[in-house]
Amino acid sequence: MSEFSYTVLVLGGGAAGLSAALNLHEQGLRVYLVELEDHLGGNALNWACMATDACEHCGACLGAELIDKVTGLEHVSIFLKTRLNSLTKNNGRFEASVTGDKNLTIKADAVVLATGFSPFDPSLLSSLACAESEKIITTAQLNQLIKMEKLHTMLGENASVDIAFIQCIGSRNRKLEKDYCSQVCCKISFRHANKILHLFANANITIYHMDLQIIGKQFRSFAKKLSDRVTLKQGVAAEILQDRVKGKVTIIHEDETKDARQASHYDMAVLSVGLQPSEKTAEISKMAGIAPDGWGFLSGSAQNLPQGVYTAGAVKGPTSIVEAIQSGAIAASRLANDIAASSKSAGKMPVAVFGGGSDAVLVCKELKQAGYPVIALDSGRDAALADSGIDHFKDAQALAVKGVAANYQLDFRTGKQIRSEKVGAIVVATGAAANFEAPEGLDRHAMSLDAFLEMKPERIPSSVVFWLDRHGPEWKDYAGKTLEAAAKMAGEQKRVYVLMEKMLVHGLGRQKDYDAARKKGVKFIRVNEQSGIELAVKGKQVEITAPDELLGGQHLCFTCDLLVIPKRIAPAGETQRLASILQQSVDQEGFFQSANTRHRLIGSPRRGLFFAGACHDEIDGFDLKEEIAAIKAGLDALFLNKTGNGQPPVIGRQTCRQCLTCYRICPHRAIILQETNKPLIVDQACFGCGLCVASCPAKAIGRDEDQDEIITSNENKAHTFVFACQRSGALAVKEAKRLGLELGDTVHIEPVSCAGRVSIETMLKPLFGAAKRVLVAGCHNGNCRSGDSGEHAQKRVRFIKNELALSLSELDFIPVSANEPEKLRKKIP
Amino acid sequence: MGKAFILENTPLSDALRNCEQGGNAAECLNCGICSSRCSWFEGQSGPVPRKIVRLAQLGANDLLANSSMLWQCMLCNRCTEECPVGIRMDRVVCKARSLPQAGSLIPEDIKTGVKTRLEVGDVNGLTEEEFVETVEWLSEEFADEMGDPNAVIAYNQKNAKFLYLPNPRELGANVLHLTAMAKLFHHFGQPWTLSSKHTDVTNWGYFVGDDDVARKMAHQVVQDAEALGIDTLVLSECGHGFFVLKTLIEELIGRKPAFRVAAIAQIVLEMTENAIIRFDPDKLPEPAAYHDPCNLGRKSGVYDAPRKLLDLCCKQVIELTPNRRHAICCGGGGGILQDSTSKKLRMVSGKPKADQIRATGVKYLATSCLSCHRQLTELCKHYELEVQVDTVASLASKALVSN
Repeated sequence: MSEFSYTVLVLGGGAAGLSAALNLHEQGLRVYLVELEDHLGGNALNWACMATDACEHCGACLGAELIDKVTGLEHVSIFLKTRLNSLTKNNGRFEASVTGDKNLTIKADAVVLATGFSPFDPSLLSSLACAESEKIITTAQLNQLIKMEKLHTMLGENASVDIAFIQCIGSRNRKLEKDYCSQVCCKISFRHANKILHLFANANITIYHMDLQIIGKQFRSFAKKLSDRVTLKQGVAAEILQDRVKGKVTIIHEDETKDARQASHYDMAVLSVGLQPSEKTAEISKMAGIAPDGWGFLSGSAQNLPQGVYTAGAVKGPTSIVEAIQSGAIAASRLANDIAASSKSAGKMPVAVFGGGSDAVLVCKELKQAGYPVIALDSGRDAALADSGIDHFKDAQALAVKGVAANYQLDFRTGKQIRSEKVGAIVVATGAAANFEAPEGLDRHAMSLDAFLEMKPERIPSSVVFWLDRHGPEWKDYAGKTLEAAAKMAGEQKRVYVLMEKMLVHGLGRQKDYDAARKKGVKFIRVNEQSGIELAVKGKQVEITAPDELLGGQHLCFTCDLLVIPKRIAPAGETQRLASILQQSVDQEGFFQSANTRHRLIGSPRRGLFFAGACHDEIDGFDLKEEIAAIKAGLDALFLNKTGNGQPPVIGRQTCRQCLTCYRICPHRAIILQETNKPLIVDQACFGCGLCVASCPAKAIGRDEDQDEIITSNENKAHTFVFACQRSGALAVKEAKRLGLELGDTVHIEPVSCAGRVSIETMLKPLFGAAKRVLVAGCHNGNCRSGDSGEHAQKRVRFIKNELALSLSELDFIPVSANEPEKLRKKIP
Repeated sequence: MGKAFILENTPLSDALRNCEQGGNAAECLNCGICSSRCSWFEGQSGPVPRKIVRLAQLGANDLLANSSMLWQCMLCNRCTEECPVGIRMDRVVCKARSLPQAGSLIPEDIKTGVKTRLEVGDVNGLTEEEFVETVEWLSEEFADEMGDPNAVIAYNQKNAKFLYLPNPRELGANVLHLTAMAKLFHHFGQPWTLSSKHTDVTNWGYFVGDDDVARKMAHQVVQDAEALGIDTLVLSECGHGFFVLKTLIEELIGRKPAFRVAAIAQIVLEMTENAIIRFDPDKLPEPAAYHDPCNLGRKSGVYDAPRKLLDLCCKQVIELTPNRRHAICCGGGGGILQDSTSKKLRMVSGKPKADQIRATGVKYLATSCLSCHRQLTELCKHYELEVQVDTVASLASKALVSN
């Protein structure tokens, strides 16, 4: 098949649709992208940046980056303000009738449904009075206020504002036929609270919640830090009163200290609204021949979709922006593989998989099935790989990883032998450490959840207590399995109690599982202080006394034959060592992979290095399958040779003094040493940030063996000269223009590949010319695609200011994201 | 914290778990929505709805049976109107009130009332002889007032179109209300009657959560009405009476009664719409607001009929906010009003209502429940609101135009 002859219709131009379009285009497919609204980006575009002093990993900026990438693509045709009238299939091809500026018929070989979600409309809940007061807003509206920097206008400069968040509005509600957890709202509210505390240092923030869903990458540590600065109240409100106190809104809630209810007054109440399928989903899925689930999402598995139809993003169920982007890439990869399945299996490069547990087994199996030769390294810690029938090296210990993507050399010890293998890519799937320790004196009465789930049904006793949250916020996979097991037992007329602090219902069907468990009579006891739980052996039984937070701490006493406790999850022992071999940092909680969204969910700054499973994130079975699908998509892209930046800088043979600064600082490990210790930048591994260019003391690196080629002629005699990162500052400028925010005539925007590309000389040039002011607009710390590359620019700015005694108005670094157009505008007078 | 409470599977939790019509306390999410919506004034140690359900969910019968919350609850169901799993508070509380352990909490007046009603047929103990005496005297007065010897208040008349089931107060403290209703019936121009046997629209069996008692009381009414062969049982303006005899009746007695059941306001509206009677709104020129009785509105879905009728009778009708599904209880529901020792409590439970009335600035308030009527009257006096309270049907009677 010739390039760009196969056509795909992508319905929906949000994060998932854009990601699908981008990846399809990279696979050589022709894309028609149809969007109902007048802009691309969907909900993600309206989301505000949640960064404070550093990036908080919300991923909102990624939408803008995708818009930028997709808009310029030759073989992607974009139809805005266009609605789908009909979708039919004739002789194996789809025919879509659409109406935009005019009526059109689009013929396509395949269709990707990425129609996204709509935020729940709280005016359906008349008691919330949100229609009547501008002080009662949704999280979606709060995003707009933050993005346009209007929060101070609304709340005044009053530092000690009182703000309430109410969770689960339009989620976890069977009466509204939304008995699912929207999954993202707890994180959104926490990040919002954190952002507001950054903007109003003395803000008093209260979050009313049902069960905070504290899960996922680095979120436990984030929530723990934040919980000292906000008030968390269990119990949500369904009624907000106005004008009880002038200028405030009033929330009635329980007074947990006594049997009474109390009124609290706030300057603003934020309704944390859930996600529901977008309005058009029902109609479009019918045209495509897909049956939505009971809630209207297209959550069915990919295998059950009609031929040629694919789904991506929040149309499948509530997802974060980062997940939606991954989902788009997966859909594109599935599609590409489906149409070229026969021709692709040959010639794939081998992939090394680290780890010997269940995560690694699944990764190995799936990659083998996809045609990748697998080199499995079993560290010996976990025996699952040994029993799986997959060829592997036993007791393997990695010693060094040299080279770059498509050309890694892996040195490892297996037994007494030291081996070296060439691989194209590496997947780390080493799992997490999971340990079970029975409470003191209860060795014979307690067991781990994993062991319990292996028990033969006839051996399960008649009364069981599941003890969640014993080691801090429970892992969602354990919580989910507990709900299933508890409901099953209760259905068999057994007595079941669950001790928990917050019931995790994260996952589309989990709320229903929780509902079923309660309906069948499982009793859930909410304990906030684990130390308050007392255990005593009474004959063959365990007697448990626990203070029930739902009854103001009333102690409840009950007995069981067996106490079941999930294992404690922690980073696996070899994580640090392996991370340093891979030259990768670990996250704040000690797990693999930094939280930087530029490489999440499965990638890394080092091309061809992927992470899967519990070694790097909190996942359940569903997530792991998604991760593996995303890794396959990443591998396909890697070996298609489409991921290189196209124009890597080169190192001048004559000018290079072999100081190896570039080799040491390259955030992507894209520079290798040749035989004579000459450094070489490898195209496939290079992201093109240009940190090496700006950092080379000999000025030996450039695009055409020349020197610094950034245009700094300042021909237009701009007063303010802005070096703007292509992923942040420059995108913020574009967004400002789209929104009609004026930047002024005397501003010159110079897009750069990364703030780290702007050397000291580059910064100074405009200052020595006509510019009165030079700004470097780069990514927030922790958001730079090239690790600490942006921080190098900040150091240079500080250095120049100290040396030349420049004031802030003459030279400054502005941390900014793509969705902070107003912030950038305000910084440019 | 006091002694640990021993949890066990108990009859209550099983009963609630298996009850499909809203008493499913087992399913409670403990989300706290109900607590934020209680009609009680916050800050007072009134009921915390979520905790009531929590105790029921755990099957903590003894804790529940000893809770003062059980008889502070006004069964108004405002709290559970937005319940995400569809629990209905009146089901849970009534079930809990019926626990043997909770017997000692039942107010004396209610105990006596239930006993008297079962024995005599009237909650106030009005005997058949006393009934006949009162009605015959009223009938004479009525004929005089109407200046029409054919204007009678009949009783035990067979095959009448309407059987009117009054509130006991209409044969005691508030006989004027009965006369006002008689005036309406008279203008309908169709045979109507009272019954000397079962003179009482109330059903306190519902308040104490005793299904057997409630059933017995309902049966008395149904059997009597069927024996009289009437077409429509017209209920006096009594919220819980309507809820039991109209909304719950089939569930309670296990079959459809052989007659139609309607509230007086609904019948008056019907007559107006059929152009049988008409009103002169100039007789009621002042703006009036309508208070939704919980049993009629939220619990039975009757919102429009009283409003439409009021709109026809009064020159101007305004709304209290919130209203309808979100209406605030008068503070006297659930049997509180029927307990003569509850006055102080009722003035606290009714404070949100009083605040709401004050905020509207109306001078006239209409409702369609005599319990609400009494509570609202007392509230207005206690909180020094210069508001006159009336029932919708009696306003209709006042605005009636003689053809």
